[in-house]
Amino acid sequence: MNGRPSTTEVSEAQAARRADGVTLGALFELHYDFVWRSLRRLGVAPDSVDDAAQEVFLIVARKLDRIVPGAEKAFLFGTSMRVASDARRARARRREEADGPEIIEAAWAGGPGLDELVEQKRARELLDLALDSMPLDVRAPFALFELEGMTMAEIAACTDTPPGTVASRLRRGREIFEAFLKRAKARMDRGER
Amino acid sequence: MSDPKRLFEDGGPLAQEILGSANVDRPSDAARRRAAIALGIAAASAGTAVGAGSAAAVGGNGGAAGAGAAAVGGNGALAAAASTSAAASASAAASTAVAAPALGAGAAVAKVGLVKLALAVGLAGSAAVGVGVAVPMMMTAPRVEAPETVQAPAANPARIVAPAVSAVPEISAEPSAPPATPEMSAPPELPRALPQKKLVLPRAELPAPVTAPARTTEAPRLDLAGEASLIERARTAIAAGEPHSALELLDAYAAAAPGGSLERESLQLRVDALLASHDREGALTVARRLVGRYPDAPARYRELAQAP
Repeated sequence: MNGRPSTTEVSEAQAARRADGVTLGALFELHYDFVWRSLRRLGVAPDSVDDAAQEVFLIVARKLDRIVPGAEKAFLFGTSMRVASDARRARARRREEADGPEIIEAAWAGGPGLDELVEQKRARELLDLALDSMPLDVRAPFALFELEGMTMAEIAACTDTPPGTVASRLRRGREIFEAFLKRAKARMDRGER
Repeated sequence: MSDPKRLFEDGGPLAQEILGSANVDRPSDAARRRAAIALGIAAASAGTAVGAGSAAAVGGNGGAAGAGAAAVGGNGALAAAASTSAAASASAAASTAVAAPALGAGAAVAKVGLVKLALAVGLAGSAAVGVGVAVPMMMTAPRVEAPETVQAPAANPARIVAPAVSAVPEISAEPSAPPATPEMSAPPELPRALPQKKLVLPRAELPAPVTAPARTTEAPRLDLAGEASLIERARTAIAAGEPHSALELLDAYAAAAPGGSLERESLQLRVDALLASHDREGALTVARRLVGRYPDAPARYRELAQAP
């Protein structure tokens, strides 16, 4: 992922204006923060989120004319999911790390003590660990519902997913999160780091 | 489809702490500016400057809303300075201006900041013309209707678009400007426009926006980018646990863009902000207004509107 767009890409971005007058600039102003938050919560590393958000809007610039009016946020979120997925894969390759509980345990063991949970940073790290233990298609509705505060109907529209599927994925995400909480509490009770 | 209770409300203190930590997820203003410049949509910042300029006139005396809006106005004017400079000097000057943070403590401070930053740009680019052009442009031009596109030197492929500067008269009209400090150097990084933890301006002290003096032109109406910027900042304030700051921003929005294209979103956010500030009665009133105007509002607002 390269944070510096090519000249061609910039020209496309500058010219981006849909027939109905919606511009890349307006979408950027309206949704940049949402895209940024989504990327972060979908697993893009903190130091890569700025670049990833830029990449999302470069894609938007190229496809502006093809975005269905009214579905801009859904397009942005879908693009964010793909960009986040690529970023996660690239990071996994770089670290040669395996997905699954092992990585969570390893990260946990190396972190600061649970008695430091009051620190926002540590709490955010734990949130990352919890989210990392969810498959992306579960993580997305969980993050949108629990962190972004969207309703399930909004999530269904935003992710272009049937409402029943959103509900079941959200249930699965909550189960995973609650299992994570149980483990966290057990460790705290044992006074483990 | 009825939504379950959110874990933040229902999952206990540990869940609350972990989920609440996501409130720190927000891009820096510097990152947002960099992305806008890199994407070649500095014009969006121009729109923001217009909107925020009016909001600064609305929001007034360095309070939360005024501070946020003025800071954005500063950003837009920064882009103006950058583009002007870029025409005459190295692209490094432009990037210096863009990377320089906004001085957002209030409208008057923003005005002072503009001059200082314009000077700083000139110095950074070793181009006296950068000062000579940028300052008069900001201080005298009442409005630039069409964004001026300036091609940066070949070393920098990104074009920078000069924003409209109609916000300037309102900013300049602020009577209680603190004295300009003599130092010329721009600070390395500024905090976000929205304060993290405090609300400076009591809501009752907000001056009526429509009566704010506009000396040279009528108060500019927010364009979509300006509306979006205020709305997004209100959303961020709510997420950061600052509902009163959000309400200030929403007041500014309502005043500067009555019946604006993001009215629905502004009403939804107002409900959220009122709930977060424990004003249930106020939230119910706004929810009813929202649902009355937008019957397809999300379920949680419809449910609230029907609450006794």
